[in-house]
Amino acid sequence: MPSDPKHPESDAPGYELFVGLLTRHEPALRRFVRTLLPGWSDVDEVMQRTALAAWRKFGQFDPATDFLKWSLVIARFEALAFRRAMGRDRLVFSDDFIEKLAEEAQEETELARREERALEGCLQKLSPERRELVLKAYADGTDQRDVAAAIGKTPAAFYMLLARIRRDLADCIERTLKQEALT
Amino acid sequence: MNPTIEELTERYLRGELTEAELTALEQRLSANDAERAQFRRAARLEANLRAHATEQQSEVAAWSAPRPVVEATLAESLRALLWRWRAPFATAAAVLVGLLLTAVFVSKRNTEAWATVVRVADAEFADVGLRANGTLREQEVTLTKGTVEFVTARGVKVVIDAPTEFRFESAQRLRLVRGFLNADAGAKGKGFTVATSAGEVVDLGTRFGVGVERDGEAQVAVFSGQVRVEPAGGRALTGGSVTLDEGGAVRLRRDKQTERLQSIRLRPVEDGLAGLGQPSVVADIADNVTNPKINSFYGLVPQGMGDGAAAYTIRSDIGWHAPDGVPFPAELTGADLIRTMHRVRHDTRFLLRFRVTQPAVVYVMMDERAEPPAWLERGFTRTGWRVASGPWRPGGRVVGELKPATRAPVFIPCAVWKMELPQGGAVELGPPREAGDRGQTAMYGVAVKPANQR
Repeated sequence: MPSDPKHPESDAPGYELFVGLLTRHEPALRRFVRTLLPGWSDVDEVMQRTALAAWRKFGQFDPATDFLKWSLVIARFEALAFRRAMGRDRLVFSDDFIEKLAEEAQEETELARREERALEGCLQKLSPERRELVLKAYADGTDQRDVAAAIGKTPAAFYMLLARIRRDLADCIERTLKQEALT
Repeated sequence: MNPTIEELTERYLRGELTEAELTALEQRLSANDAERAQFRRAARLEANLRAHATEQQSEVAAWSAPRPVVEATLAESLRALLWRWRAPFATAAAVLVGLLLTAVFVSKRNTEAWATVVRVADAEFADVGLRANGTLREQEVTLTKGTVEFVTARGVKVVIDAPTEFRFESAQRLRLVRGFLNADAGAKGKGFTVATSAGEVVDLGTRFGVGVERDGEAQVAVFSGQVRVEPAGGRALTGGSVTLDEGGAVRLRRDKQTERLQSIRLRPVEDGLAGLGQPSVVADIADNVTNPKINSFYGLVPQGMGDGAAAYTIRSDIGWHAPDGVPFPAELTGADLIRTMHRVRHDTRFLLRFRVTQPAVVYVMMDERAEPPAWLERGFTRTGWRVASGPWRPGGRVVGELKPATRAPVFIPCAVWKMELPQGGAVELGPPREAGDRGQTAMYGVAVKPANQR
């Protein structure tokens, strides 16, 4: 509840700092969790738990250090805890494999950030129709089968089309990062 | 031909892999650093695309294009058609092999339990008596009192409340003649089917409830995941199957198209469809949302209001709580609770109507941060009591400028308003905020208590 006597050291300025840091690093945290879990609803759930856990522990965070690294550790723990809790209901990777993926993903946060920036430009290089289609398909809460039906395609044909667009985007991102490395 | 790593990754990201495929993907990725890097890259791209797409999506657009009911896809229709019309001679060899295999396994299969009873609470039966650890195959069961819980051979958890009549037709198929059940299919029980005379409900990986009150009519509600609902009768009359998402409920009738069910009764403890066992003073809950694609329900929980009660239908993690250092208002405890839909909070034309069947008091828990809407000030009086909704995610959109004083999760303070209805009658509530109001507002909650129980 709002005033928890277990956390007497807490204050409102700390909250603002927390929200600012969380907002800034949320895309990176979300990318990280997405790598570990198969469904978006599970990712949203783990993001929610991560934010709550990070807020509870924020008193232990040293603002001079890297918030993203600190919160990735929490997200990794929350993803594993979620996987154990949901083991019966969800098809998910094993604990060991999630640990392995998490370890590697934690080393790639800078690469992931550059990919995110490159995607911006690569989306602009798509034709307007394809750009609109891919953004519709990935909008929060959208059922891709609806988008398929709206353009008169079967889900299977639509998934193939999306796969082609994603492959083009992935190639474009790779080229962009290589060019950046050269300059 | 074995699927490529790209194909497996795509299907993984769509949540479509089978258990065997997931194991195969994990093995391949564990053994190959490059493929694992490719997998992480694909997951990151997908997350980045979703972030871009969501940025462009306004709240209003989300409301006007909600998670929809989907007509049977062309692929599904074609598959069904091919199955129905497959030529017997084309599969003769397969049938022969199948018969031989069946002969080998039939004796074992004829004795295997389809379900095991895991809990019997205060139960009485008209015919077959069931006990904990007892097994079940095709026998008909009439539960006249209490609750029985089964787990099927495929791990599907089924909870049945009296009065209910049912029988298993296989480990993956249960026929519900009348009454209410709730099923949690889990990963291995995907495809679990509840058959009624009004049609069938096929699990697509979910928790759902089915109720049969009258012959030829059933209600279906989804608490997580998705189900496919197939009305009985000709496709020309029913329009074919529909997919129902989390938070959705429909009425299913033979030879009729499915229609949105605006309210369902919920069990007070864990999400689930409740029977008519507990009376309620609230009836006929409906809103003015006319979008034919919206199938979301209001959840009526008889005597369900109290500290910790779930506030909304989809976001069951958000509850009503005692505010900071103050006990939960005693008068609210035990009231019939209407779990509302949080996502209508921006609709300034929204109306919620219901009927109160006896003298009662209607309570509205309204976000204190916003100006009370005119309809509330006109018809209700402020009690001076407060409750809090939460826990909300720190920094989330609904939380807005709200800053908790501690490191605890965020709770939104709500004022409790009330309206006395000495004769009962019709109630109409407006939107949580009016056109032109700015700032964040959480959706309000509603509770109703009979006057003689206050």
